[in-house]
Amino acid sequence: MDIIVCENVTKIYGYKTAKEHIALKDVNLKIAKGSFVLLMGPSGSGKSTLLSLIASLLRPTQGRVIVDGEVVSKLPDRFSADFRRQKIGFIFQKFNLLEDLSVQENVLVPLIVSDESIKVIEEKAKRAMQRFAIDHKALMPVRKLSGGEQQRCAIARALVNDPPIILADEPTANLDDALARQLIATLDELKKEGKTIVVATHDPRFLDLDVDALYEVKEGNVYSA
Amino acid sequence: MYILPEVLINLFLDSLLNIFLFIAWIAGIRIALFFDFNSDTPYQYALLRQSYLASTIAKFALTFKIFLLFYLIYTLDKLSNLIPGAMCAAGVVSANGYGVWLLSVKIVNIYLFASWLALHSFDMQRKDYAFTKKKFAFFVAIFPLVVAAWVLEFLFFNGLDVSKIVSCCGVLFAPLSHSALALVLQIDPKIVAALFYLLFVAIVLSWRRVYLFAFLHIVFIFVALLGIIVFFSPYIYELPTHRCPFCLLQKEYYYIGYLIYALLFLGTFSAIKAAIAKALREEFSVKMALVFDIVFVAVLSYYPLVYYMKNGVWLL
Repeated sequence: MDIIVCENVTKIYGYKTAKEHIALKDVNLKIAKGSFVLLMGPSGSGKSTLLSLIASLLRPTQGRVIVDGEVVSKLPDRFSADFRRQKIGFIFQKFNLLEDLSVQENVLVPLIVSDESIKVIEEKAKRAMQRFAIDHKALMPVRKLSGGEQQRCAIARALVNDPPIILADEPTANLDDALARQLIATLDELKKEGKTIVVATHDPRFLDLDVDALYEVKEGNVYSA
Repeated sequence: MYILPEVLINLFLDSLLNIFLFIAWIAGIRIALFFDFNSDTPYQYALLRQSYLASTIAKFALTFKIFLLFYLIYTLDKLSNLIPGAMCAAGVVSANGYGVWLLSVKIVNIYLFASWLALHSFDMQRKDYAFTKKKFAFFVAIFPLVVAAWVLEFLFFNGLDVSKIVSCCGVLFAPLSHSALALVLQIDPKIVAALFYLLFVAIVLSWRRVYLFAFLHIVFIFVALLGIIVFFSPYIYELPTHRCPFCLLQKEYYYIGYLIYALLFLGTFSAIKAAIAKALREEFSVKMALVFDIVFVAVLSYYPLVYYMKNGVWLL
């Protein structure tokens, strides 16, 4: 069963303006539930745009994106946040953490708007921090953490809602070799738990994994590699 | 034209809001004609973005216009100090041929605006834009009335003549006058009161049948206005011969008219909203309509009851 479907997706930044830039051209892509998919290609090839479209952070110029049976490319903005909170865990290259907040507070952010009790959401946050071995620094502001700790905090935040889909945009770009391998192992472990993982990267270390599909993204086109 | 601050505020705000509404109307025509949720073309995505912008503009402007009607009534009341013969807004409204039309169109408009806002709120709860096309078709259809009210407002304020003596409400709402209202005003106050309370009881009893409930509310708007003029207003003014739906908006009567008319609007509109929701197969409740109705009837009934307790007589 396909959990992510892109049908004839085109994304043009500055459409019909002088600064028009084609990021994706007529992309057709199907990603099966529980698979580990790599999107590889140079910087500026359209990988991040594709991930943002899947996460409903952007709307395509043409075509449609369907995630878990829902047409997210037309999802009204007021529903997008809920969709992302329930379905998507997004790991960003630059972590995108709230630097003045503590690790615990950052991990709690996706849970703030949930209907669950404070006790339940604190328990969820604690479990996520324990899993990624960052719980001992729960009360420390994230700006005081090392790069690896910040990455673990970002992963804990992305997974605290137990989303079925994990999108990672150049997740190893700011990590040293040891931390990068640790992260790759974590993603592989999450795949074994049944999560669907889509990683946009140009890091060849991912090729050591037994991935289900590898796509090459080049100048806005997506090719099966 | 009287260049009173209140008149200028009315004209300026109405003009400003109408500019915004015109922009939304242009987008609304495109959306009403070409919006297709199943299409994935760049044009459809452009319409999606435009629908969000146009809805936001229309929501803000139409909500503001509902409140602006109450400010217009306040302005009319204030103008009565300047127009010879006018004792309240009634005299000002009758000062030229546009006043009654202006007020009538404005009242019809606030019900249409509120209906659009209800339709919009149902659309906002849906992920599939189920009512987007309908709501913009409705918006496109009511926009000419927005323009009509605007034109009438300019004509009305421009046509006010300080040298012309107008009739006061005592003449306009007198049963023996030659006005169009005279026939209606000749109805016995007892019959009007009985009709008012019977209709209220019928509304309460019909709460399970939403379409009937809404229809009875529409009838209730007219019966309630008639009841205020013929039966209740003499008790509010404590004067058997004083029948006027406008004087109760004045300071001497603690501006009670604003509360009365706001409750009438909220009660009747809540019932209409419930009917719209049922027609769209959305969730609905008649509780708010009933609450506003009960408070409305309680506020109005307070005056004859207190008058009777103080004086031991009815003004019939």
